[in-house]
Amino acid sequence: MNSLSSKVELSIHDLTVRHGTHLALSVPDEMLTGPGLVALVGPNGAGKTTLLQVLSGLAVPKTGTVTLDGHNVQQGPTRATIAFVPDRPVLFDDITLADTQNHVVTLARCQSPDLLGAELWEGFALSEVAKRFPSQLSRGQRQKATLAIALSRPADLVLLDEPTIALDDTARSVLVSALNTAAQRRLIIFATHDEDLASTAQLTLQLRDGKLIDD
Amino acid sequence: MLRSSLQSVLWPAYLFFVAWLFLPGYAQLLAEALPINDTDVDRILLSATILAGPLAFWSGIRGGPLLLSEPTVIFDLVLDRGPAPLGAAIVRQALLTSGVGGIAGACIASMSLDNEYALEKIVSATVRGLGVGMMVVALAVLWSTTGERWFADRVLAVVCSALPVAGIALAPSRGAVVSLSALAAGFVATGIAVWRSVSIPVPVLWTRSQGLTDLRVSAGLLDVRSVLSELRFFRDGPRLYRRIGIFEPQRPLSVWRSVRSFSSAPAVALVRVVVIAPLIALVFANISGANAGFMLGATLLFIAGIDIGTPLASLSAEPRLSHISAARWTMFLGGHLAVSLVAVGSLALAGWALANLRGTAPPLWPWLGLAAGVTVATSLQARNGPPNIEQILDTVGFSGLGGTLAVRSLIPFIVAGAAVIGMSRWAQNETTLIDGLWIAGVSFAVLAVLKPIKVTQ
Repeated sequence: MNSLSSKVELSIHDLTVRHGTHLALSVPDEMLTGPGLVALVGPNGAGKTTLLQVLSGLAVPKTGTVTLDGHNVQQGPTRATIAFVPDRPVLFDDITLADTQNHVVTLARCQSPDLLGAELWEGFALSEVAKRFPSQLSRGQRQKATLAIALSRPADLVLLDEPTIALDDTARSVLVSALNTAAQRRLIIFATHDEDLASTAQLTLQLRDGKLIDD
Repeated sequence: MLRSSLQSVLWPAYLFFVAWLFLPGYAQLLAEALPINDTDVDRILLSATILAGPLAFWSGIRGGPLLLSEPTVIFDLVLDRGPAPLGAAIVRQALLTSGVGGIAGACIASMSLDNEYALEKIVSATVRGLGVGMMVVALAVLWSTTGERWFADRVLAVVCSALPVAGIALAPSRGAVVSLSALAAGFVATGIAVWRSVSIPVPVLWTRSQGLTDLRVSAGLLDVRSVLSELRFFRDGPRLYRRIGIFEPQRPLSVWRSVRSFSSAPAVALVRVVVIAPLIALVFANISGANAGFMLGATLLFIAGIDIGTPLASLSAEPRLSHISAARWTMFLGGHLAVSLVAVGSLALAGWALANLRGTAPPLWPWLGLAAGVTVATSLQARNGPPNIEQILDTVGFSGLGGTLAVRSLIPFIVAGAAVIGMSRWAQNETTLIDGLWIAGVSFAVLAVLKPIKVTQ
């Protein structure tokens, strides 16, 4: 499951997620095929983050299943082929960026960072701050590092939650370019409020009150 | 990476050694106010050893000790690499608790007035504390309700809990046998917990890691209200994952929901306080010979402590204080000083009041001196943060590493000792120029603590 597939099929069946008594998400049936770039848009509280977390196998739905190429994303080997980047910096406090990237690549049993991660690392000029700890970086730099490091391992499905948050214009351009290139080999789904970024996607899914609606 | 790993291993190890060396000395000071003998010490250690099993059970069914950081889940656990990543976290938390247990054992043993400094007894009590502390975390993982757990986990947890108790039954008069049984149980339980950790589902750990991040942010901002709210999240847990431990996990969700609503009902809380706590208190009052009212209070504190202690313990498990910005440091130190002062001051006053009740009251000043000294010491220790091993190695080389660490570790305790001696002599109207210098030193240390730390960029 670790090698990249040329074609990716993400299938959602009868999905519901509840937060207490509140129905946070309800997606009856949906099939997404890749490679490609998919934008997930909608107002705050629409369920974008919840959907991404369920697709990544990091959250358990109340009902329904999500499969990637026919395998349930809740299974360990399938989850290992999905990369999820949250909307806030997620880095180890006690090791440098270079060590964190090395750690992720080694753990994924790769010789070198994946192309997407490597392109972001170079485009964001992270080599200049590679020996710094997260606390020595700005919020934007930490977000860049999180994106580049989390995407340093190969993944069939890439899920990004608000990837342009805290990024400057240059970094945004680097990200858009890298995503467009990577979308030729894998399925990338990102949640965003950024209309320019959303316009780069081949498919846009609109989410409102936990339900997918037609444009 | 190697140096980072070296740092994360050496820091807790040296902290343990320093605390083990010095804290029993303070415990002996306490013993002057609360004189106990070898029999009392044996009773306390016996109670603690027996209590480890129920403590682990209680902690386990309330979610267990496993609180990992978000990067650990996102980068390590999702890769499905077997028990290694989670096992490392379990071992780290077990070692942390083990260290605290070992130090507590040494302190309790050193408080006996029968034999002022019997190294053999202190070492035996340390070993027992190490084992019991390690066992509590490991068993809590096995009892944990956070997943599709194997029924045999529960059986293994019971067997491991029974090991030290068997040691007590087989050789009640030989502390070494019990201590070694406890240590063996600790290692066995930790090994099993690591082995079984693969069955803990990643979504549970992800949900808890997000809660931990929120908790850290709130704690960093000293937002007490949010901290309490987030602690309640850990106590109540994500509903889906909080199953009752010893039952089979595959039962329908509706049944679980019924169990869950039952367990959170006010009547159950009332039963816990009115029935369960008094029963536990009576049993342990009988074992230890302590006052039943005192044991009831201790049990209620114990229950409350378990409720809030697990997430707090996890916060301390990853103290990366050396790389915090100057502004955050100032806020942190302000809060740290206030909390330490209140906590240690309350303990000191309580100790003085207890001693007063027993008719052996020493002057109040040394107690307050101790409170001030310990507060300054902990603040200094916090200000120092974990030693930057990499920087020390680059500066003084490997041969100078040990000495540098020793000096760093001694400073806070010298300050604390100075405070106690100075205040004590002042209280007895025997102050001299030297005492004045002691107090001046303490004042200087306080100023040093309040000076914002320099952040290297």
